[in-house]
Amino acid sequence: MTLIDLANPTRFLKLTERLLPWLAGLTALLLAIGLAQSALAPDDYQQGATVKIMFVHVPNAWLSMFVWGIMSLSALGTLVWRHPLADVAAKAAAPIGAAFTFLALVTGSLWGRPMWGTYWEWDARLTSMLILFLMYLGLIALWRAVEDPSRAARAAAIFTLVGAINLPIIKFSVDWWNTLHQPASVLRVGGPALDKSFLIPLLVMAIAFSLLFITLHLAAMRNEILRRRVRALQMLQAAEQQGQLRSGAL
Amino acid sequence: MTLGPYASFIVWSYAVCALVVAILIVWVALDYRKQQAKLRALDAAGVSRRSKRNAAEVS
Amino acid sequence: MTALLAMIRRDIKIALRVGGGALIGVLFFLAVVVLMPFAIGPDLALLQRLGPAVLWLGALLASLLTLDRLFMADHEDGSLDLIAMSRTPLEFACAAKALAHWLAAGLPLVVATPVLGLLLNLDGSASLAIAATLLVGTPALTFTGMIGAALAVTLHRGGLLMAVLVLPLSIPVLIFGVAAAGAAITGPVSFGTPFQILCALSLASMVIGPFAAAASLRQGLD
Repeated sequence: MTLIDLANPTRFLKLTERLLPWLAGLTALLLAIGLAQSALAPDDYQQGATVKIMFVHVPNAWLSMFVWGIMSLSALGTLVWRHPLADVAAKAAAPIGAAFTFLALVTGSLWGRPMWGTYWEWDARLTSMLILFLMYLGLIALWRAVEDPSRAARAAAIFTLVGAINLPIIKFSVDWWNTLHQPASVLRVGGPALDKSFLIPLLVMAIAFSLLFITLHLAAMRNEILRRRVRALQMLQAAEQQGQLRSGAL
Repeated sequence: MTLGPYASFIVWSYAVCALVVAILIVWVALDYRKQQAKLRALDAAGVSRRSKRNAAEVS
Repeated sequence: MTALLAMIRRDIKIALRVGGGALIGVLFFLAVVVLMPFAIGPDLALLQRLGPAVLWLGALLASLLTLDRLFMADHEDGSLDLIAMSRTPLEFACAAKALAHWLAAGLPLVVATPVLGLLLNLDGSASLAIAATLLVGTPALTFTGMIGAALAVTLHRGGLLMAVLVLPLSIPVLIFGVAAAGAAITGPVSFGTPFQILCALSLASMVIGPFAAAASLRQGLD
């Protein structure tokens, strides 16, 4: 089974049909283990129990960037190889990525409230995350602005790639801007000093959330393929009805 | 397990995550049903894919 | 080369003649800066402190608003298809169009800055510093915005969608532009560092912008 074989939507649908229950089960299992482990994780000596927010915050933040990476790969597939599944993959990923970015923002600000005393701090990481969220919303708006899916796919692919080039620049400039205005970041987790008792639940949760994304993404891709099939059939139906009308008139 | 003075923030962040993930799952599932229903309706109306009619390869 | 020069000359002529609308950008810039004191009060010290930010925001919005003219008019009368089909590589043609647009719409903003600086109680050297940052920064805005303009014209959607797409991408330019301008007036950091990064952003956008815009036009025009 190569990538070329997957270009056939019917074959892809069959494959997802077979894979999805297993993926969903594995996701649920890992999420349960991760949640149990994060519940049992000890309190941090500085942050107390709020460190538990990290176990949902970090996986979401990681996924928000990972999803943009997936969309960039799909964008290359759209522009270079014109792979029909690449359009579908890119479109299906955008709302899911936006949701993960939103979660990273919300959990970040809920984590920040006890640490900083305010829900929103123009902290470098949160600010870059906010800009990423804006870009996700812009991308979704772009997808929704155009009716013809293949035309929208090419425009979205170009924006995704430009965004992928720009994201490191944005990250760098926000970091620079942040150090200019406030000397040190308060939120300093994820350094090498992370203890094993935090690291293992964090890793399990990260894998569980990644699997969750893969499951949702495959299901959303399946929906998108069906949606295109419906669209093609509806257009066919409309064309046939028009043809009948015309032949009836003659 | 004690959650300390900031229990509400921890509970809220897990709750928001659960809610958003649930919304995503429900959205995907409902969308699947909707598309399947539409396909069935079109099939019942006699509109079928050209590939089924004359085995020609169409997208 | 002569083809590109001819295109630049043509675009500037079109932009500056009646109905071209390039100079409306300057008018908008002026209007935004004049509005500011009404929003934040006529406190001269405060205006001076906010001066670089106000001028940069005004210039950013003004150059963004004029951008949808970049391909739209040529698309409507069909010359964009001719440009796309001509032997000149589309990337160069896009770069030439952006350059012409910057000369007609971006450069007047830079020239107007010292005058507007007077309204914001900025002294001569500060105004000149801001004008210098705008001089090297506005090309980045034009060349990044060109990507949005190309997407908008191929999708037949203008205005707000383009702004929504382009604004996040122009954040780095805004950060370093305001930082360099601020550094020249008060700042804790030296003027050189942000100014050089701003130059780098402009140069990078001059490479990325034409390629992305040309790709978008090639994919989208039919």
